[in-house]
Amino acid sequence: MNKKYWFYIDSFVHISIKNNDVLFYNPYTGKLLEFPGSENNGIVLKRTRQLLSPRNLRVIRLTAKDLREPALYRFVRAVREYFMGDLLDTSFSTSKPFQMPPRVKIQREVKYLKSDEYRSVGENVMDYLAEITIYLNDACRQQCQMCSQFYRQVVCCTSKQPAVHSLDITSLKKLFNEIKGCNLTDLNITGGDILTYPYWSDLESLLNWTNHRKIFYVHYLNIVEHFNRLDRLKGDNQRLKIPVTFPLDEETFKKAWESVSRLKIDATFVFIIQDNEEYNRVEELLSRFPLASPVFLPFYNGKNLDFFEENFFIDREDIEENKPSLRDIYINSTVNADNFGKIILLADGSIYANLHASTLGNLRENSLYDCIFKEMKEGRSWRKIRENVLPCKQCDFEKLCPPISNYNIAIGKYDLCHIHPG
Amino acid sequence: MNETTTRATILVETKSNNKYLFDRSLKKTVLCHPVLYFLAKLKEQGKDPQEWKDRHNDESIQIEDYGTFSREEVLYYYKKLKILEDNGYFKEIPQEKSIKAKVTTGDIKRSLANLRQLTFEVTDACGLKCAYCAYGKFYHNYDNRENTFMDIEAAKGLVDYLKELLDSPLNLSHGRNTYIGFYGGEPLLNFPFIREMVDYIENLDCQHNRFTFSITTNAKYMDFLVEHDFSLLISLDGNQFNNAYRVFPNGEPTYHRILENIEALRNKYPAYFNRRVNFNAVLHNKNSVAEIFDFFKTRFNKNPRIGALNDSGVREDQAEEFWKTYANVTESLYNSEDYSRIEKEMFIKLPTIQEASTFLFQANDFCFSDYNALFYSHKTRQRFPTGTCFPFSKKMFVTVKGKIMACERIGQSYGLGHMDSKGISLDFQKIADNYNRWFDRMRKQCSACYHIDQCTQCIFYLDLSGEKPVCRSLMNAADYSRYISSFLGYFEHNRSLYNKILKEVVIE
Repeated sequence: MNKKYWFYIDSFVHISIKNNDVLFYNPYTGKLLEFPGSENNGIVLKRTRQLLSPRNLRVIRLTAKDLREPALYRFVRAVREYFMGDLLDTSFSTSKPFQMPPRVKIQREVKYLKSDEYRSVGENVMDYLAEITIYLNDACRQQCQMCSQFYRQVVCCTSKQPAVHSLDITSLKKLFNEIKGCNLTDLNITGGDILTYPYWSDLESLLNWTNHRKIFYVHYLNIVEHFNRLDRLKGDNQRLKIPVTFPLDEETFKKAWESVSRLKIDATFVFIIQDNEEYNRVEELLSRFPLASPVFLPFYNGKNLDFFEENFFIDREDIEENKPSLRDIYINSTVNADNFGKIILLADGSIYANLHASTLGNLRENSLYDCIFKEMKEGRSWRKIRENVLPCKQCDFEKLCPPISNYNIAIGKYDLCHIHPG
Repeated sequence: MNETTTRATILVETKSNNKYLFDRSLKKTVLCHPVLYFLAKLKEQGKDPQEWKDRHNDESIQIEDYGTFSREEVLYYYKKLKILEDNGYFKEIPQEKSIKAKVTTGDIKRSLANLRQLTFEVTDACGLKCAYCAYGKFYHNYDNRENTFMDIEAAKGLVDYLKELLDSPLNLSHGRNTYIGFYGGEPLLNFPFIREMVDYIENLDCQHNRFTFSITTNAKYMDFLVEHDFSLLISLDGNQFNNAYRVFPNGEPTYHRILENIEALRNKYPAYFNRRVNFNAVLHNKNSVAEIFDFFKTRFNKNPRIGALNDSGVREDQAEEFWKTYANVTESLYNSEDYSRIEKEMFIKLPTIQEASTFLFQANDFCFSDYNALFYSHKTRQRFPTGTCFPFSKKMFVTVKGKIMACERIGQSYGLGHMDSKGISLDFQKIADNYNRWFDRMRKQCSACYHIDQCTQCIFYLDLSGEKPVCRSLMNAADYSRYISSFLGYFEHNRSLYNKILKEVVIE
């Protein structure tokens, strides 16, 4: 008797077909099942395409005769072994079962808003604002190496020699008024050396009006220099982040460490490192000057790709270990989680969603509403996803990888991975 | 399960005997082999599947009502059950904790600053006397009809009041369209009001909003409506017989007069007619979904909206006649010979598809209201009891007597404020207190309800006169399993709708 089965892939399984490569990923187990196009995967490709067709919604009929085909049998067995799907005897029910394959749907998605003349991309845009990084000034007495580059990859401080800009208080007032109704998570206040910002007392009264979390950035070299002014950074819902860059002045670091301990301020040291040697140096330093939760951020200086390749390039094992969830996959399909909701305001008033993209406007001339509207409409940073860039868009792992980051752009390479080297 | 928790994972079997697990918390449906379903059922019954598995060591295991399976199969599905369990299935939901949201004055103010629709009942006068009118003999929950006309200055005052909020930083949108609706009675009986208000609003210098006008009428003053690009909704119930309840006060039928107006509009402005004119048909015992569909398709090549009579606020002494007049849209649809063609053509205009769409959007973890929703978990979200809209989150409706309400479809006894020539009276604290008092009476019921996350029950459609209002949509686990089963069963036989709905249906 030629028995009949419903063969199905579970709705929680992620499926991708790119260039005839077939990938199944089970977010519940973190397991990957790959059928590369180069390995004669014709049957798998054919059946997976059938499974994915809108008519079938991941359920197809197979017969015992079909399953006598060794390649198909191996495929079905692998799917079952990885708990990604199953075979159901058709006699169990009287009609084909139904599956709801994931298909990300955002009711207020830009494509829908653009296609309806009576709606606007600007609907609720200010609600998306989650974090603003404000560069108050570009003045600083320190002369750190690569100072003009760090801030393009991580939230940090930066300066110009000689100093050129300071955000005027009128612009800041305008900004704080515009964000009154927003549910911001973080307000990053950086510079320059923010402790020399000329309108500090005006700024303070503006900050007192907001209940967003404020995070001040003061370089460790300036901590020591302005010890007497650090008190102003203390307060409820206020935190201090202290970038530490190399070459490191150990004596000054020690003083900064002591100052922060003495003040009992909620502070985090952020070590910006460029190679393994710097990492080891910090580890050694921390053994003598313990910190509760230090942060390490790598920095690409144009010459240290090896450092990134060794430590930060991802491979299949990383993905299985990280076990991206279905929600991660949905996010990676629609927005850039690193950029989404973030706005940067430089000391000259220019506004960016990401410093590697073109400016959205200038606070002196444009409203924040205009700028966020523009970013939502054009999607250059907030909606910059791997699906739209090469070589990622040709890779099955595109939705399983972390979002495009500043490192990708600084290095000029989207595939910082060992999966499908470009 | 204790009284403060409900089960997250529900076992569902369709009429075709397909078996599924639906998790309310994860919003995921898992198709089941009978053994997996059986093991999940043991869990549901408070039994230990592991203990059962360990007790059944034979190579062939018979499971009553399910069949005979191998030991290997049992072990395999036990493993799958554990994987599901490790990933959040089979949890208990502490419902009470999630239904504690309170209405605050700040949220009400924010709602107004983001207002999507403002509708004026410009007059309660009407040239018709439709038998089933919402302000007619069947209902008790509306203010007396006294042929009054809305005060234009008071209405301008309300617009100014709202403009201040729309221009404030509480408005989170930029370039949003706010709909200005004119409602009646027959709104065009107060045409001077409409003309002046349109002019006033078109000349407002609003920072973040633009405005679009809409009207429900019988198609007069067409040049004006076309010039200002009104969205025009014309009420007509089908052919002459179907339309028998829409009559003039002297009982004469309105059908021919309305049709003349429509034809005149279509002949003079064919492009506008195609783009901006829609029809609204009320279903009752003198028409059917099929007749309505055929009439509008043949005559105007349009798909009308079809709605049933509102069954809330019906007078007791009129109940018998009301239910004689009433007809159910879904029943009427499925009674028609070619319902699948009608369903395909009318698509989202039909309640069946609207309900199926709502189910898909609410029962899946990949459907989100906006981009922010991608980042927060619905599991931790605090919600209000029932499915009532937050005040002013969808619209503001102002009656001809100046009563400010959350919607035109609820009884006029639920006014939230007042507008008159002296100004606007909207006490946010009082509104919040009223809502919280109404909601408090429902919290306990909603905490025990399995349907709460998909609830669309408006609290104002419940009888709030007693101490303990009873929700008509309350579901226990068995009710909810049947509810999910009905939709999964529907899609088992209408699979093509799955992608069509996800692709085409957008909820504003």
